[in-house]
Amino acid sequence: MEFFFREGVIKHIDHQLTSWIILGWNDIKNRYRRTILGPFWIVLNTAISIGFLGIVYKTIFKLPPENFLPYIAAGIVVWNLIFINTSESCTSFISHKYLLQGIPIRPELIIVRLVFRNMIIFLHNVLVVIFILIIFGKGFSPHILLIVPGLFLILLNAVFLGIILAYLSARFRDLPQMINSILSIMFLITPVIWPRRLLGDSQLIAILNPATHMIAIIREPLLGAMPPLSSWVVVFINTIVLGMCSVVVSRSFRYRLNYWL
Amino acid sequence: MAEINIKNASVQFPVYNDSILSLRMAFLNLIGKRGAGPKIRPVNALNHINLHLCDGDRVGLIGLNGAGKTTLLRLMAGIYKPVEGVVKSDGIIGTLFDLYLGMDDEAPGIENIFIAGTILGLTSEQIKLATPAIIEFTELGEAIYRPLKTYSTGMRVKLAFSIATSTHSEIMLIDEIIGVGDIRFLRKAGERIAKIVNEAKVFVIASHAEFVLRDFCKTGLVLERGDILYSGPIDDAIKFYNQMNLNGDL
Repeated sequence: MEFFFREGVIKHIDHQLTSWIILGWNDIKNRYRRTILGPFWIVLNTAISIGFLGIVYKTIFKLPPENFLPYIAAGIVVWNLIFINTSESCTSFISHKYLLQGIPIRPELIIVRLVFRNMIIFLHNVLVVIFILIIFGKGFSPHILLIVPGLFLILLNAVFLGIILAYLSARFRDLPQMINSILSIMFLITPVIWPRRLLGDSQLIAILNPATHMIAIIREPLLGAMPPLSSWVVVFINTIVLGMCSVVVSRSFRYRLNYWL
Repeated sequence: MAEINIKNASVQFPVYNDSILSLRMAFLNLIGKRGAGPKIRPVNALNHINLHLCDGDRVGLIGLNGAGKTTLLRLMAGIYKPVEGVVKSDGIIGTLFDLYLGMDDEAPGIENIFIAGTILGLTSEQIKLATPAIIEFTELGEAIYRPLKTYSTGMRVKLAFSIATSTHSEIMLIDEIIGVGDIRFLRKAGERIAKIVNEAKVFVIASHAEFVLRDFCKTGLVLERGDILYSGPIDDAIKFYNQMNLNGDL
């Protein structure tokens, strides 16, 4: 009896998970429906900011764009994915207050929808990188296939971190602001728009920063290189630790959540 | 068999003020810079509730505003966990507590049928099958293709009500929401609820409308300040409630 009950529960969760992924997909479809360009507005936005960075670097630092532009483009696109997932997760439970108090759903599903939606937007943005690679006549190597497991890890990471931040932000309302400040500092100290070798002897800043490794495991394959094994290991361990923390957080706070909202 | 079993359950609401909801303040308190912050005195919303509902129970929750009707419904739905005691339920729970249902203001009504339906746990096929009936029930006509933000409150009620009542649940919990909508819709809503009452194995509704209570419920629970004061046949419960408010603390 117990066994069947568990089976039923598991099936139920699976069904809910697919439902919320469909909802994430639906968010994207809606964006297409509302404007002709749909999510391509975001792509255009990404393209323009990368373009301007290219101009700035070329005129100020006199750097040849074919060397740094693909690197910067890939960095920005991956960073945007990490940034938007983290930032949106913080406010997700607070903004779904009425839903959480109206229908008994698992709060974590809200994060799944959000991360899935942002993944689709990321895949749109990757087109900018591919476009730049083509313009500068850079070839593609089979290493590019490595973005699949890389992206999978990043998304898993985003879901776990998102769950933790969403619960904590529901309890501590000033946390979303703090996280946003931390993210903007992270952007500056992470090798997103500058190469890691410029750190010289201070490599530790990059090595200790998980964002460096998260960006590396997608950026390197995009640019046709093999990401360093150490980056894989860091992201992998990071994901496992966050995963365990998120289980603890959601187990401890799931039933407190509605009292906080 | 569907059932809800509540044993000695209490719900307390912590009253959070701005400084308690702040991480910075929590940190300052921790390192003792500001001394102890204001003490949170929890509000008792439900006190030691014992309740056992099973197949065939149709219950009306009666009480003044703030008596604990909505809290009890949320407790049954598993949205709140009791601070002490246990709540166990067996059966698929359907709720109709508010008219929000996760809908998107920018999306057209028809799209919102899909969104809300999915959130309520329906599969895409089930939604596809149910959509014509939902649209028909709402009587929104062409307006179903307009964004939700253009809807009046009455139109929203119609849409949300017809989506939420399209799910087939074993335990149906309804908070008073049907007060809005024109007289014609109210009659239709009444018929729809009558159908839910017949389909659901356990049915609980919170309402101030005596005709709603008499029509749909067999048993009545009178709540006051988190206590069940009376439990019995619906007519007697209503009588008790009216008596209480006539003589009561007024």
